[in-house]
Amino acid sequence: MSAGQGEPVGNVIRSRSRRVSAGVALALAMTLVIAACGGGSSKNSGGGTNNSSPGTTAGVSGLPSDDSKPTTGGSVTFALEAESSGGWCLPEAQLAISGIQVARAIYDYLAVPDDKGGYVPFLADKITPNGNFTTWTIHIRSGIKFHDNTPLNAQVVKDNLDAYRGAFPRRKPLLFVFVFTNIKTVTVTDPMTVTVTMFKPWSTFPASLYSYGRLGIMAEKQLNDGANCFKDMIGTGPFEFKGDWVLNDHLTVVRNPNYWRKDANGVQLPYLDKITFNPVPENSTVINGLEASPPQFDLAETDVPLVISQLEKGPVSSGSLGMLKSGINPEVRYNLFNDAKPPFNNILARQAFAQSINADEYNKIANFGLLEQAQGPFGPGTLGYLTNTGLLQYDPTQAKKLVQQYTATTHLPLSFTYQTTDDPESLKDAQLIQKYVQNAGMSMTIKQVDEATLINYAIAGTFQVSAWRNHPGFDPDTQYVWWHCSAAPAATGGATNIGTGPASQNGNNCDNLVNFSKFNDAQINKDLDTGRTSNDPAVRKAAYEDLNKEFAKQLWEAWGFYALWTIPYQTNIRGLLGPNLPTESSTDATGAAPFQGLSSGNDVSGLWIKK
Amino acid sequence: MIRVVLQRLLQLVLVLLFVSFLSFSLIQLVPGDPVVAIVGFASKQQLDSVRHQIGFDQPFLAQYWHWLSGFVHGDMGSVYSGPTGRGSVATAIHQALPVSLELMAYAMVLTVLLAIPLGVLSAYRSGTWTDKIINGGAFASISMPDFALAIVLSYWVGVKGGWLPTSGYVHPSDNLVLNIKSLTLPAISLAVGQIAAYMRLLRSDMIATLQEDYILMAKSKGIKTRRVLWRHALRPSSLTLLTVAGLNIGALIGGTVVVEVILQLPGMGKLLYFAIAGRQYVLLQSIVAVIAIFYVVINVIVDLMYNVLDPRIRDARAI
Amino acid sequence: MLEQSNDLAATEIGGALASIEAEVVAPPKRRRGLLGLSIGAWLAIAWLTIVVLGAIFIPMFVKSPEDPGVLAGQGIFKVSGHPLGGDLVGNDMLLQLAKGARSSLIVATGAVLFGLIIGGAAGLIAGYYRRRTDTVLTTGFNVLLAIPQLILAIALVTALANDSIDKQGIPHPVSSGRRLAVLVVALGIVSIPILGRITRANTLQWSQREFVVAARAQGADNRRIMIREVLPNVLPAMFSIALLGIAVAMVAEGGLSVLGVGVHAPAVSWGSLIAGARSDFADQPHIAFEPIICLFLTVLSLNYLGDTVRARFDVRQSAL
Repeated sequence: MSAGQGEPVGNVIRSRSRRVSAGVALALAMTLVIAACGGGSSKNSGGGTNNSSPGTTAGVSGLPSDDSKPTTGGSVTFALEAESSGGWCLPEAQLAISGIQVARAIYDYLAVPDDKGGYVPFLADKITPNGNFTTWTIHIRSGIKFHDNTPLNAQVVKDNLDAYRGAFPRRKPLLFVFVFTNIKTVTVTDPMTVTVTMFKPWSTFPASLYSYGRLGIMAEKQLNDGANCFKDMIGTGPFEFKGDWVLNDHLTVVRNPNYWRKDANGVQLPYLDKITFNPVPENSTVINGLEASPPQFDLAETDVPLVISQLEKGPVSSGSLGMLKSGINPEVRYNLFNDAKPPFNNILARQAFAQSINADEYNKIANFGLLEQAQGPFGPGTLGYLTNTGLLQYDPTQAKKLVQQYTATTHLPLSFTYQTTDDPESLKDAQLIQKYVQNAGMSMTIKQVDEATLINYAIAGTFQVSAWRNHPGFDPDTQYVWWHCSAAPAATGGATNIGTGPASQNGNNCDNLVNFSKFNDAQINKDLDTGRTSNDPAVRKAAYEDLNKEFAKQLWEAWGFYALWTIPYQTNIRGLLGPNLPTESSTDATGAAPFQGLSSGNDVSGLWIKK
Repeated sequence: MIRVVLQRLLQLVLVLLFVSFLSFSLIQLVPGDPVVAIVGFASKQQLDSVRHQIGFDQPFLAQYWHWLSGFVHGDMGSVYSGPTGRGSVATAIHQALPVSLELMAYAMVLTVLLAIPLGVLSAYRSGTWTDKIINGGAFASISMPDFALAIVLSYWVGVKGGWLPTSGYVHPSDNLVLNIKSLTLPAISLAVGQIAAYMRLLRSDMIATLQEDYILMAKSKGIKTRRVLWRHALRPSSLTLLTVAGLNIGALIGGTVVVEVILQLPGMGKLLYFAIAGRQYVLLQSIVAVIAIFYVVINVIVDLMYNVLDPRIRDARAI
Repeated sequence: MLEQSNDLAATEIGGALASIEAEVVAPPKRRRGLLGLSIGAWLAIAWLTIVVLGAIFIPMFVKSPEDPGVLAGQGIFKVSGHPLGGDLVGNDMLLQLAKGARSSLIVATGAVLFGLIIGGAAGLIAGYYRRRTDTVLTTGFNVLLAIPQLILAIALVTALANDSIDKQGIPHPVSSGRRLAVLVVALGIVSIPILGRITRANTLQWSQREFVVAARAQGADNRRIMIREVLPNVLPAMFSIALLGIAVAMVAEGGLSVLGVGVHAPAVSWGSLIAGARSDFADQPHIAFEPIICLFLTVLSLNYLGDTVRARFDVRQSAL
């Protein structure tokens, strides 16, 4: 979920991230399962696949086809969707993609995803579980220093993990706490080793050590910094932050001369001297900036269909601009139902809504035909993805019938307020939906609010349906925190009966503050637990596919479309996905290829400029 | 003279107090908890601490006093973003104000450069086709709202022509040429309506002046027409121009705010837009106060210049 | 005299009203034509009639196609039966323009009526009774004038148009009707000082005329004189100002829409149509240009008629 951290001063309404992404989810995007790579048995060597072949590019298109030798030096400007005005006090921040992109330049992670869907130790060189996944041992790489020259050691790592889980005095995280409730203890067992014990088995723990790029490891100084943690960033990453951050204008980072990684030929990373990030929420400014000559932006990051389509039709097709595109492990844009309050506590209403919308036409009008329709929360490349979950499709006659049935059984008209963010693109999308639902006999009013308020309403449950965005890919266990309810569902819980009146059919006795829809589905709870505790890939696959189908059956949410992330770039930029990952024994880029997708930004340490 | 200045200053202070008090009270009318709207998802403690920091837990007058004393010292409070994000309101205004001022100055320069010659020309050629065309054009220009013109220009000049950037802003310190270019479309959008208004005013004023006897006398003395026009006929009209200038500032401010939002310039207009939509009430109060100060100060200056320039007033109030 | 020209020049918001001054000193141009009105005036009246009739009747007869895909993003003359094209979500542009005309006209006319009634009354009283009443009222005007109009309008709209919260705690936006009412009141309040000052200036002049002085000397009741003798003479000037004021209010509402505090979806006004089109107009310029042309022609017509009316009834010219 990307951030509700309010609008960057002056830019909020024009934010290109139109739907609210559950930035809160950041903290929550934890548990990624260490999946199949390296053999599916119980012992995970933590060393990744160690394969040195260049990663497949199946997940991303538009890479420049060039194998020339990287040159060092130079600086680039990188246009981001939005400002992260909440700053980078990572345990407390609510970062969206723009914020993650900046974080990835300044910080590193204990583990990172590789191109096979697995997790490779990064700042750690070994991450090993015990037999039943209740104890994890993290061994830290030696010789790594933070930007303030303090060493990376087990104590610092422990303090970071404690900060994220709410056990560190100076830091008060809110969302990450939910993610790590399963951690019992974090102890330093030797100067370079941290041992983590769990309450319940957690086979996918290393995935949460990445958390979509939100679990960066910070220096003690920043961890302990009371008021200025959000702007005095100190990490171990390829670039250092020296204080140059002008809100809504730019943030620059400069080369870290003592970065611990080297490329495959032993050349010190990063190649670039400087990166300037510019938050640019306005579509036309980004497009103009990329097309201008000389260009105002060397790179940009966007998932806005309008921008993608205009760039594709223009400079990309004429060859003057490159564009990386990736649709794997995407997040989903959807309509968040409040399943605990009328009208959407009644499955008839949810079905009517879903079946009234002509998804193909909507895709053409609102998304320029660019996006893939979502059948469930898991997108292509994510475990549990299905191209057909049995989700009800567009059927206007059926929708009208359902509306009539609703009115007949409840004696109320089917009317509701749709909440969305207050920018013109969101309004347009909402109006389109309004037309479809009105055709089916429902009546809908649109309420536009700023992102922060939208998230607040979701948390407080004072909404009926909201435009939303969440559940970025990687391991489905990271979604546990959004959907799982520990309290037992009430007697009518997990209801599958259709049309039995307005009373809540989902027994929402849900103790989960961030299950905004407030559904409590016994089947989903069970599948989530199976996925978390088992590490048999077949068992997990079955569980998540079952979960996916249950979502479709109950329509707890109205799934929309999978996001499509792109990085337009000037044709002289190379190294866009980053170098290969380090191995257990070497910090050279000779290990697995990095994750071939864009849903958590890209690794900037490998960027270079071709002269 | 001094008395006038003091009088005006007193007026300034009173108006400011009134305006800030008004905006403060109106904010109280908004429903819901403003702290929740500002901060977003946060724990009760975090909300309470922000509430205390802003001062929403204090009685109304205490809040007002707290804000006012801070404002006078340059401490305008914070922009809140999430439970921990803090930006300084003073910094935000400090960054946004120069952009708006530069735009308004640019628009005024264009206005003066074009309105005066056009006004003189059409007064001199009053009744001819030149006059009719200019006057007609001016009338049409007044009828075109500046934000609509901004869009039209944006399309024809920016999208079709590609000569000028349609949005975005470049700092003068980065690149002066690009800076001027990025402000040209917005400045033209603002200036067109202003030019028309001033021009018509000047024209009618000058037509009357040109009929005066002393003009005829000057011409009969052999003074060149151009000199007569510019030195003798133009001067009395300067008063009227000045009056309208001062009064038009309000319109210029309004126009600037809207054009900035449409053409995406990081000035006070966009900041205002953000403050309203983001429920940043602390920021909003300071923006309102700054704009009000600016407005009143300009009016005071115009008033004073009026007193200085108009011989009748000057003589009447010989102090 | 200085003060008067100051007052008269105090009709600003946007250069539109400043144009009043432009014609004040110019030699009167009597245009001959049908009923003494020029072709231009007739064209203006014709356009305004079209707009008003269109606003009333078009929404009764024109409907947008049920399927948004038919008209979404289609330009002018692209789809048969819908010559003006569609907007981004498939509404017929002709219908949108007519609905926009309704909102724009209601808000603008309502605001000016509101301002004229309250401000006009205040100005009449101030100009007639003078002395202390005048000082008090004028100070009131000045205070309101001291606030930049836009800020005042925004503050009023934001404060007055609150959501309604239902039993479940879910906020629902205010109805469009209520929103229109709020806009009328907000823009009305903003226009009070200006309309008040002009009325006052005109009243001042008329109050000094011989017949008023005579009536007073005869011992007639002040209030009667004010209403019976002065008001009818002030009305033409006020009518002219009203026309100009409606134009200004329409533009002001457009500006408010751009800032997000104008009429709210699903209601549309010309201003909100223009504002909504601003990010996509590169692809579909007609969505922005059609309301821009409508707004421009309407403002132009109102300005022209306002000028014509004033030229006809201008007190000062006959005094020359």
